[in-house]
Amino acid sequence: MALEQMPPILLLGHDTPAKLFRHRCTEWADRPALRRKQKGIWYSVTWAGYYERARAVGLALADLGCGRGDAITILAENRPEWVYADMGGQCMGLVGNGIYPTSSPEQAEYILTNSDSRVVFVENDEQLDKLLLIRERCPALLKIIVMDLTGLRNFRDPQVVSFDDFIAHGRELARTQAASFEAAIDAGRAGDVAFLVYTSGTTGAPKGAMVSNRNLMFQIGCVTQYISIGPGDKTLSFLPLCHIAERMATVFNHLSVGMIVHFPENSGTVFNDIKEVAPHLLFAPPRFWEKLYSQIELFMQDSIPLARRFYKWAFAEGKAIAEAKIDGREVSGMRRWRFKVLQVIALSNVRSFLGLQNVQNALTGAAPVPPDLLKWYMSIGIDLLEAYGMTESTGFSTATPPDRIKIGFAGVKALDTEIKLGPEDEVMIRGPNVFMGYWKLPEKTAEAIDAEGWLHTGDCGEMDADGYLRIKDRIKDIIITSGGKNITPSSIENQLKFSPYISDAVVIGDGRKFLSCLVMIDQDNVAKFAQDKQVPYTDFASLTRAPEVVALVRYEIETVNAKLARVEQVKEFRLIQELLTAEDEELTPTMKLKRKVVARKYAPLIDEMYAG
Amino acid sequence: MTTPLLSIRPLLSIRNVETWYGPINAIKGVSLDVNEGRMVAVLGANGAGKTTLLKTIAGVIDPFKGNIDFDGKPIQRLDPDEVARRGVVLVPEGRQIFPFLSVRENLAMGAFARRDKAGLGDDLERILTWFPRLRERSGQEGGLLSGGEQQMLAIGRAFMAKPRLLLLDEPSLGLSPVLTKEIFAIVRRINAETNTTILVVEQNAAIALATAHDGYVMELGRIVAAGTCAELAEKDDVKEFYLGVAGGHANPDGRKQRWKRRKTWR
Repeated sequence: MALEQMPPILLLGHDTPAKLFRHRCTEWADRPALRRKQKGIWYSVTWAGYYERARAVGLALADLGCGRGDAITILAENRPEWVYADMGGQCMGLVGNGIYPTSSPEQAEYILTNSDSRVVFVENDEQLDKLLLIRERCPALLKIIVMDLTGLRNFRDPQVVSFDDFIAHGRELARTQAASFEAAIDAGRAGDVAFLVYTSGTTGAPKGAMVSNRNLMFQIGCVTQYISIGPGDKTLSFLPLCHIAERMATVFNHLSVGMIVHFPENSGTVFNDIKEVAPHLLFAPPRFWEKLYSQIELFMQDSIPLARRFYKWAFAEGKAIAEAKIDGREVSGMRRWRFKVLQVIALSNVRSFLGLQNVQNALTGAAPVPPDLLKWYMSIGIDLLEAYGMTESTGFSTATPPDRIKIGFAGVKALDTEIKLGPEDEVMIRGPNVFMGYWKLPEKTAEAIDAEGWLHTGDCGEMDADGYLRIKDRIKDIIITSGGKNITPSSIENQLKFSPYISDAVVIGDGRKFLSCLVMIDQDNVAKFAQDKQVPYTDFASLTRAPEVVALVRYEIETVNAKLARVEQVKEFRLIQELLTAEDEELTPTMKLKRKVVARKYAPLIDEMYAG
Repeated sequence: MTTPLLSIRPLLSIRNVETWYGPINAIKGVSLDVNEGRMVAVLGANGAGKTTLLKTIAGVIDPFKGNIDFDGKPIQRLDPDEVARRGVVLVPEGRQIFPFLSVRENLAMGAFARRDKAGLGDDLERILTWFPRLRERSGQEGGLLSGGEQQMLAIGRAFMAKPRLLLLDEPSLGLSPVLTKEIFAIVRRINAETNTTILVVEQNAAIALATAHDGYVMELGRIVAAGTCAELAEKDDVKEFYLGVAGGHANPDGRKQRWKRRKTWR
C-alpha cells in the first residue's frame, strides 16, 4: 500500500507530531517542559515558552526562504536550542537532521550536501570552524546560526547569525505572522517526512533515513507500552540527539507523557547531572550502565568492611529474588521483608549514589547487553529492561514488558507490528514503525524494505514460544572460523565488556584457526588497579604494556572463556595502546569500537596474534 | 613511540606515589624516574600536583601510598632534614630566602648540615662565579634583592648543601622572560659542570623543554606523557596546550582558535 493511502494514526485527534505539540503546549502551557543547566544553575522553560521559541525559529526560517520540504541541519550537543530548531522546523514542514558534534568537517559536508540543507544551526566556535571550512562546497546553504557566541565577539560574517538575533527576529515576525505558523502546522500531512536520521555508516557513506509523521505518531502512541512515568517526572537528555533513540525520548515521548526533559551542562558533567536530577526514566546504551556498575564495584572495594558486608548480604538477597523473578517463581513473604530492610540499609544508598533513587523505568538497548549486567541491576532493585530497535524502525521495535523479564531477550514486539525471522534467521519487521526509505537512494531503500513491506534489519535473531526476540548479532559480523564454525562475536564481546577493566573488545577470527580479540581497557578502572597493586606506569601506552595489566586482562578473558564452548574461547589478545576518543574513526559517537575499522587499523597487531 | 623512562637503577625512583591533603587527592599515583646526571622537567598546569610531588619527595608531606627511592634506599616518610642530609635539596616555590640575613649569611645557611668544611670555600666561590650579581650584593640583606636575584640566591643556597639531587619548584615564577632564560641557563650549567642531577617543576613549558633532557607531563595528579624533551616537544598535545603552537587545522579566516580540542596524549 502506498504511503499516501495508509490511514493516519491519530492521537488526541491529531495526525502529525507538530499538531500534537501545539495541543500539548496549550494544554500544559504553564508546566515546565525543559530544563537546562548553565553555569551550575537550572533554568526552566514552560510548554508555552517552548512553543513560543519554536514558533520564532520556524517563522525566522521561513523568512530566510526555507519552504516546505527543505532541509535544515543541527550540529550541536543536546541543549534546548536543538529542540527549538527541530520543532520550529517540523512545524513549518521542514526536514531536520542532526550531525554528531564529534564529526569531522568532511562528514558534516557530506550530510549538508546530501540533504541540500538550507540552514545549519551550530553550537559554538568549534562547530562553526567546521562550517567555515566547508561552506563553499555547500551551495544550498543560506545561513549558519550559532548558539553560543563565546569567543566570537569580534567575528563578523554575512552568512553567520547568532541564535539570539535569529530568534529575536522570529519573535518580531510572530507579532504579525503568527497565523502563518498555525497554518503551516495545519498543512502538515501524516505521510510527510518529519526528519532524517543519518545512519552512522560503518560501511560506505552514511544514508539519510526518512522518518514520517505517521511513523512518529505510531511510536508516540506506543510509548505507554513500555514507559510508566507521567507529567512532571524527570528525564535527562544526554545521548546524542542525532541518534533515533534520544531523538524519540527527548522530543516525541515528551509529547506523550509530559515529563520534564533536563539538559546537562555539557557532556562531561552527565554523571553529576544524573545525581542532581535523579531521573524517573533512564535510557542508555549498555556501556553507560556498565560504567555506573563499575563505579559501585570499585567504590565498594574501598569502603569499610562493615559496609562491604551489608552490601554483599543485601546484594545476595537481591540476587536470589531477581533470579526467582526471572524464573517466574514466587518469593516468600519473609524473604521479601528481609530484602526490604536490607534495601533501606545498603542498596538505597547505592542507588542514591548513582542518582537512580527515583528510577521507575530503566531501559537499555542500541547495542547487545551483557546478561550479567541486567542481573546486577535487578539485584539492587532496578529492573533494567532491554529493548531493540533501529533507526529504520523509528526506534524501539521490541521492548521487555516489566512484569515478565527474560534475560538475554530484547522483549516482545509492539502492538500492531509484525516480526518474523527470514533466511539466515534475519529479523524482519513490518508495521507502521517501518521508515519511509533512504533519502534520494531508492535502490538502497529497496534493499532495506522488500515488496511486501518487510524491513530487513540485517540482525540475526531467534524467537521463543512467547514471542520474545533474542538478537544474536549483525549477520555480516558472524565469524566463520577456518574450522567452519559459525560464531556470533557480540555475545562473547558482551561478556568481556562486563569486566570493569574492559571498556570494549572486538573478537576476530573470520577464516582463522582460533578466536582472538583486541581489547580497549577502561582507563579509570585499570589506572586504579595499577595504583592499588603498585604497578608503575607513566602514560596510557605504558599502562597497557605493564605485565600486571596484561595479566589482569588475561584473567578477565579466562573467566569468560570458562563459560564458553571450546570453539568460542578467545585464545589470544592484544590491548589497544592508544586512548581512543569519539573523534577517532575507530569509535562510534557512542564510544563503541567499529569492527571493520579496528580490523583494518590494527591489522599488524592481529596478524601478530596468528603468527605463532 | 615513547621511550620507556622507568629504568633499572635511577638515582631517584618514584613508584605509585599517592598524596592527599585531607580529603583531597592531589597526586593520584605517579611513577617516574630521574637518572643520575640528568636534568628532568615536570610540566603541568596549576593544580596538576607538581609542587605536591616535590614536597612529597623532599619529605615535607608524607605520601599516603607508594615508594620513593633515592640512590636505592627508600626515603618516603623520612623527615625533611634527613632527606636533605642525604643529598635531596629543595628550592621551594617563591624562593623563601631569609630576608633579614645578608646574601653571604643566606648562603652559609645552606651549608648548615654539611660535615665537609673543606669544600665549602670552593663551592661558595663557584656560586659567586655562576651568579656574579650575588657577589656584588653579598653584604646586602636578602629581602632587598630583586625577584630574580632572590631566585639565584635560593638556588645558590641549595647548592651550598652539596646536593646530589636538586629539586627546583617553579624557578621562573614572577620573573621576566629574560631573567627566566638566564636562570635556566645557569641551572643547566650547574647540571653540566657539577653533574648534579636536577628535577625541575615548571609551568613555562617552552623553556623547560628547551633546557632539560627528559620530561614528564602531569595533569590532575597523574602522569599523562613521558619522554625525552625532544620527543615531548613533538607531541601535538604538548605543542597545542603547553607550547601554544596552533593545532592541526588553522582557522579558515585566520582567526585565533579559541576552543580547545580534547587532549589524547598520543
